Amino acid sequence: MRGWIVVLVALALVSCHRAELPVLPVGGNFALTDYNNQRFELSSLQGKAVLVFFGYTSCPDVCPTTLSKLASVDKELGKDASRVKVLYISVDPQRDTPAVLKEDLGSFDVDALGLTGTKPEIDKVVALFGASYEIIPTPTSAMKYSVAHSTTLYALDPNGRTRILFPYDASVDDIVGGVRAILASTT
Amino acid sequence: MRIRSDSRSRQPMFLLVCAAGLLFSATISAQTDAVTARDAWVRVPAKSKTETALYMVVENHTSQPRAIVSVSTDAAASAELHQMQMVKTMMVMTPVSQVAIPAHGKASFDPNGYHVMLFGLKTRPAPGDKIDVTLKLDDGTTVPVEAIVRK
Repeated sequence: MRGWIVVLVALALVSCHRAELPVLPVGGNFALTDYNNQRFELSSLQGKAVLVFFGYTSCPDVCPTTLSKLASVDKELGKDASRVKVLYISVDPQRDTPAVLKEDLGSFDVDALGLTGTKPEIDKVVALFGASYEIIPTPTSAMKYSVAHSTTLYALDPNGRTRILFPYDASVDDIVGGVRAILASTT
Repeated sequence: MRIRSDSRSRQPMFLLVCAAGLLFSATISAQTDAVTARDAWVRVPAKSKTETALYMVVENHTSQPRAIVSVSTDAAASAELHQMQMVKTMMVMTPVSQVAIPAHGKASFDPNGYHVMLFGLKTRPAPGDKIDVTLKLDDGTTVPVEAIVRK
């Protein structure tokens, strides 16, 4: 189902850049703890386009790849980058304390806020976005456990409504185009 | 008489020493160029981490399929073979016991597939640094790899 939404949205973007983007039936306001140990609510970002994804900092591939890609998106957006905020929601609260999130996100050149919380709080947000994750014990490995997680990037409009779902392999241009479409439709 | 008997009993010991010597030199010369690695790089670890991933292309120049069964390095406490893969809608990273290299083929270690995880890095690598690792193959031979550190 979600795959189809991605395809449909991608087609809509290709066929008409300024088309009215649908409001997707996932997401909504939520509360977590940010990497400064402050309570965070999505509604506090009213007026900004928001890119949300789920990950964990011990992840060597997907999460650095997504963050590097989003750093390129920010660069491409130029002055519009100030109207966009990235939210990195950890699905590994046991290892990803606010301090760890802050330290690790600092090495990427992107305006990303790291979010964490208790497991029930995180589970609630994961369910809200129709995302998924699973803790996989790896007793023979030094990492002890791995975290499988969905890799969708959610693009929210300045009113916090989810407008586009980008698959993991979306290009920088795809994301820049989507963000510009969101910003254009709301100004 | 006693002397002869002594020299006879020493003979097996002498052979044992020779055998051990041969075994030792065989271990030393186990390095192979039938399988080689190229384009090896290590991602700069995240700030709070002492672990990171190593990527490379390993080529098998022979008509025999081979497999990488383990990795060792002096740069980290341990090195493991891992694989990223999409399972249903989720990306999952799991350790694997070996990585096959087809005959006259290659095994690619890249951010969407296999990688070597280095755990417990002894020093924090910076871009441009070099890290040496050794791949052990299923036939007991080893492949030296020099990886460059990048962002």
